[in-house]
Amino acid sequence: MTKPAPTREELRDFFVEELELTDELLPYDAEFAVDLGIDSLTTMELVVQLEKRYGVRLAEAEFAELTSVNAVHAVLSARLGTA
Amino acid sequence: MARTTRPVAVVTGGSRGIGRAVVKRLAEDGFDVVFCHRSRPDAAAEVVAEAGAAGATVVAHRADVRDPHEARALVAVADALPGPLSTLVTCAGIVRDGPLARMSDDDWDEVIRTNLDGTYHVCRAAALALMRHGAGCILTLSSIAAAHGSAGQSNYAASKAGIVGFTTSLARELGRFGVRSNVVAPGLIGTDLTAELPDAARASIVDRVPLRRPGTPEEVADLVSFLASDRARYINGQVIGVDGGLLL
Repeated sequence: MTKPAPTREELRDFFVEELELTDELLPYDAEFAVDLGIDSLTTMELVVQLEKRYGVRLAEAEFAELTSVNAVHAVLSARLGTA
Repeated sequence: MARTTRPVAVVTGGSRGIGRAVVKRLAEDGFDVVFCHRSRPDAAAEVVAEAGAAGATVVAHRADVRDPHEARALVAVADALPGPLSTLVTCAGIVRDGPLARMSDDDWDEVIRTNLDGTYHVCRAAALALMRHGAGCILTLSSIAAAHGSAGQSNYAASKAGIVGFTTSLARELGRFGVRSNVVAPGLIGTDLTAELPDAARASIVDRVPLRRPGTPEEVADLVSFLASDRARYINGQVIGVDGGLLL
């Protein structure tokens, strides 16, 4: 079932919890790989969780774009409508 | 009558040999099965009829696993079935035997492209669906030749050894998604692939099998059936032989 798109704050909360970070350590524009050293497999794991949570299936090509909270928010908003 | 959704298995090389036995066994185990074959529509139709008798939806799809687009199309057929894609078994394989000093580049390339590249193409095509499902397994078919080598089969042994490294890497990558990856390593099994062996060579191999006979495709399918089941839920990243104890 498709749900409304998450807000940026909700998305940051998700990543903060999953990655065991704090809000301060996860600015919206921080690059997962470059700034936080998060490997691509972990990012995929979290994105698959988000797909389930929001009832959406992203295209394989879109996975490569999901490099920050802002980027994930943009892709999900485009799919689900702006929250 | 309402029908419970069955999990979906994709099997490559399903029209004959070990793949054929695997298709039939998984259909009996409660899977819907999509299998591919390269050039055997008559044999594929037989498999559909035999395996479908178990009440499963069984679909034959013509595909050449050497081609990544055809591998994706195969997985798309499985994706269109009602149940989740949960099991992938890569059985498609060929031999082009010969001593290295006389091996043609084509014989090398064909074996690597079908056995190793083909395994990669299908696993690549199915990876995201399996990750999304969050359960299930990949089972690749290697060979006892992977670990021990086999005179006259350097191309085949190399392709099968590549499959081991590939699959154990998948075990590390996909385990966190709940997807297990294991290798099945048959010894001498009575199939079309081994029928080409000269009688003397076959007898010599059988002499080194403590059980004193070749295995059957069904005996390999029994192992696949177990590894694909929940009973194997903690088995991951393993190479498991089904070879009668063959000593090389």
